[in-house]
Amino acid sequence: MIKLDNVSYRYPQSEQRALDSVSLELEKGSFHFLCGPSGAGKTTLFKMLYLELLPTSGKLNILDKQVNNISRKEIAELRRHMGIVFQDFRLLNKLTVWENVALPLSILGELSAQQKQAVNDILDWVGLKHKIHEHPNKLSGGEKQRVAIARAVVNRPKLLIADEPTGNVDVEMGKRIMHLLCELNKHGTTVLVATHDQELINSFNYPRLHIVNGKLKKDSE
Amino acid sequence: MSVKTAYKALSLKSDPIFKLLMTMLVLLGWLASLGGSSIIGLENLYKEWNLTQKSRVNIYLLAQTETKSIDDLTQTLLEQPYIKGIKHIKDEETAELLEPFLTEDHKLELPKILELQTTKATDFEKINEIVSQKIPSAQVDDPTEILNSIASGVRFAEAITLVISLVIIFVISLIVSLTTRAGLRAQKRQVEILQFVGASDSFIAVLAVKQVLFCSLIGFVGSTMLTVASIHLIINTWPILAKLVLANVWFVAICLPLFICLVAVLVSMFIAKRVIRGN
Repeated sequence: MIKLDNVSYRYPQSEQRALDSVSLELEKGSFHFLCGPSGAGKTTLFKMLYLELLPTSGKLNILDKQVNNISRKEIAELRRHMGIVFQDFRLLNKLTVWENVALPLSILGELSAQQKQAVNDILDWVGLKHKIHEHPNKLSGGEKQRVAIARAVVNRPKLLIADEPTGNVDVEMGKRIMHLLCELNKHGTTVLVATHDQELINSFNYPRLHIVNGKLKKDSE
Repeated sequence: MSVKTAYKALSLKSDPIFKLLMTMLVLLGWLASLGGSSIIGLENLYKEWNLTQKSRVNIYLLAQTETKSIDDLTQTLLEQPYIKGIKHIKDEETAELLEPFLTEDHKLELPKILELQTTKATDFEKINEIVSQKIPSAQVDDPTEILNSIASGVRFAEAITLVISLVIIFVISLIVSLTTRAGLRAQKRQVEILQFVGASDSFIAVLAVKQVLFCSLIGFVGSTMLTVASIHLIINTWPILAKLVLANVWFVAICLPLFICLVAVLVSMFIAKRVIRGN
């Protein structure tokens, strides 16, 4: 599903490597936490996984595709099989909740009745069916994050990457969001969640990946 | 729902700079269209005048020229394929023609005038040769020089209009380029989100170009309507010009704004792809 082989990344005009010889393999249907302090390289690794950055060295495979020399068109195609949840939600205030969730499907063409139903079902699943006509700027942090999750999973992605999905919500809402992600994982989606919330990590029995100064360590190491 | 959602997500039209683009497309399109139609009208006028000049040649003969010589000249000229007929201008008509230049008590004998009706293929050199052989004192009114100088004037006016049209197209390209760039940069976040959900560069570029196309079509309709209204106003004010407004004038009045519309779409497509790629 995902394979990093000695992957390093150095930002332009920076002498230090943001990622330093990272090797990692995530199996299909697995669930991992990615933890580490701020500036450790979590975001860089995430950007690499959703193909915003490409490695300066090493081999990177995403969804079983070698992506080191991938074209922009192929990046777009791969992203259609991924769900990305950001800490700052990245919702469009001009669109309603329903439209935000339907966005990944709308770029593929006219929505079928089945797809429209899927949007409604997902919104029902995240508990926001009653808010479909609202605009995101009228929602609370937890509601926004659930809309972001709904948008990320509406096209049934093979891989879900969530960067601090509970960072802007209270503890209760954080747990609720995590339960949604677990449920998604049970349906076969590979999930990788970045968080520095130790309490949250401890509440779930999933393997952890630690990243410190750009180097990756597994639980056992 | 569907692509409309993506279209709504990247709505450039709400940007004030796009309203400016629409206004500029209407005004510059109108200017270009009116200029183009005017030059075609001028070309029509020139062609008509040129035809009249080329189809009539006058030969001035001294008053005492013998009738036999005139008949001989007439006969020889009529043998030329490009001469359709020869009219002997009557003395009264000649007097009327020369009246403004003569005093009331003049005792001059009036010259004789032959008016040749010719085709487009008139050979002035040949006419001059025949006339100088038959009646050396006769003068042929050869319009070649004035035709050439008027033709140069018309070509110059056309060249100036062409340059102005190119400047207008350049200005429009610049405005479209700046507005597309500014519009997309102002919506950087929206572009990013569309990219994260899997939209390709081409898909996003098409969303932007469709909106420029919408502005351009409004510009096309607006400028064409203004041009049509302007031409009607000109015809009503100076009815003599109506005969110059032929189908080609209307064709240019419509085609120029349409061409500007096409330029706007092509420029926006090029710029949108570049901006999105650099996002």
